[in-house]
Amino acid sequence: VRASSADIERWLLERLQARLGEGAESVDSHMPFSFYGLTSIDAVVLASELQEWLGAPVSPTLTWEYPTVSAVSRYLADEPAAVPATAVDFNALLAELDAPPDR
Amino acid sequence: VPALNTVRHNGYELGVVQTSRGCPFECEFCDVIIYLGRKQRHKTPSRVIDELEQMYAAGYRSIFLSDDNFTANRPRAAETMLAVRDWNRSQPEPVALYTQLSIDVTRDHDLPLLDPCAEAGLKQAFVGIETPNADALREVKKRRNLRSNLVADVHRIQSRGIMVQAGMITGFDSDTLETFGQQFEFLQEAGVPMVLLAMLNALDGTPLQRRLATENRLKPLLLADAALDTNVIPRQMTSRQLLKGTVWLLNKLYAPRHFLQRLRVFADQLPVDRLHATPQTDAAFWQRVAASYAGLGSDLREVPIEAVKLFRGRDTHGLRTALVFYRSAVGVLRRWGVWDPRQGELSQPDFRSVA
Repeated sequence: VRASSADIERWLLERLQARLGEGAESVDSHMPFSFYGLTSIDAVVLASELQEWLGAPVSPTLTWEYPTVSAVSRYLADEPAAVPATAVDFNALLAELDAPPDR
Repeated sequence: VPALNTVRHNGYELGVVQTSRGCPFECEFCDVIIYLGRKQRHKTPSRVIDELEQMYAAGYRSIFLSDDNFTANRPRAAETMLAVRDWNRSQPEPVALYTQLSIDVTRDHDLPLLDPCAEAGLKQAFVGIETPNADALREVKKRRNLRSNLVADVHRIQSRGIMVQAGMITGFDSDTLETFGQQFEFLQEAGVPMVLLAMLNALDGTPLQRRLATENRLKPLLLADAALDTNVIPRQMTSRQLLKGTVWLLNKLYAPRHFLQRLRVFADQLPVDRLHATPQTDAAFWQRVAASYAGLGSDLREVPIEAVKLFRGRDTHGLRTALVFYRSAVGVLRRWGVWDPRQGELSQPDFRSVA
């Protein structure tokens, strides 16, 4: 998929917001789809619309495996939670294990 | 005795021995009695030892006693653990045991049970604590949890070197919007690092399902994963409030500083034993822990080191399992997209605008 996770997230949030109607609370990308009253039919329709917009195949059961806007966006953009992979200091860990009790 | 010699054992973490089946209790939501019955059946202590021997010979040094409720029949549980204690003490490398039991393992005015469990090598116990809300426990007939002080019971189990893992449930009929905060406070106070949290679900064949059907309070599931969905229409809150509160509770419990605080309380209960605290042979394990936390970002990366500091001079058996579990729990919450550190900072779930 060419879209970034931010693009997909924006698209999904607009879709859900439109569905909830004017004056509704703003959609939280970390709350499950079921929170916004999506039924299983809605979820399949949403996946199909997403597929059309992206121009790439989207599984109809996507929202079962990735139950929030945040999860779907990251999955489709193939962006696993982006954090720098800095190693834990293993020697520091072992030193702590060997340290005498201080309490 | 199972023909274990036909099993290829490489790749398994835990051996498994089941010493009993079934459970005499009648917790309304539980489906164990539906498929395994209310009359508990037991293997004899010598049969249990035969199976442990097999597992030991196959190389296992951690064994799960996979009973539905190990302590349902207290005299039988004590008898089995005394036999296991004698067996385990005679092994060159004693095994660590893990099982599922009732919180009243601590009740020893009729017969000692906690001591035999600890002496037999029990290191971890899954306990269905469900909720600190006594009205909810009464409502679902979980009577064994009503007899004493749950926090004191957990601490007493921990003081014998046994880590308590808790099964907790949100969404009981007696629960209100205040209950989520009470769940959090209870778990922090009890020092239960590993919490298996789910919303109340009505499983097939259970008394709960029958009751809710007559009250017209069942609804279809949207999501396959029951942790984020339920077929129950709650009584004193809306489904949206239940979900909001549960997601808040998950984030609150697994915020790094709250997880570390529960580990601290647990460590404080453990006896200090400098000689046996940290076997040097498992450097490979700690290497794997260090590597598995590496990709989690700065706020989580330090969790193993901070955690280890709390356990100086203490047995790290429970800590090790808790760290593996925590890494996995954070991974699942992130994959689901419900990991949201902002929630962990709120003192209560934000129910404004959630009707």
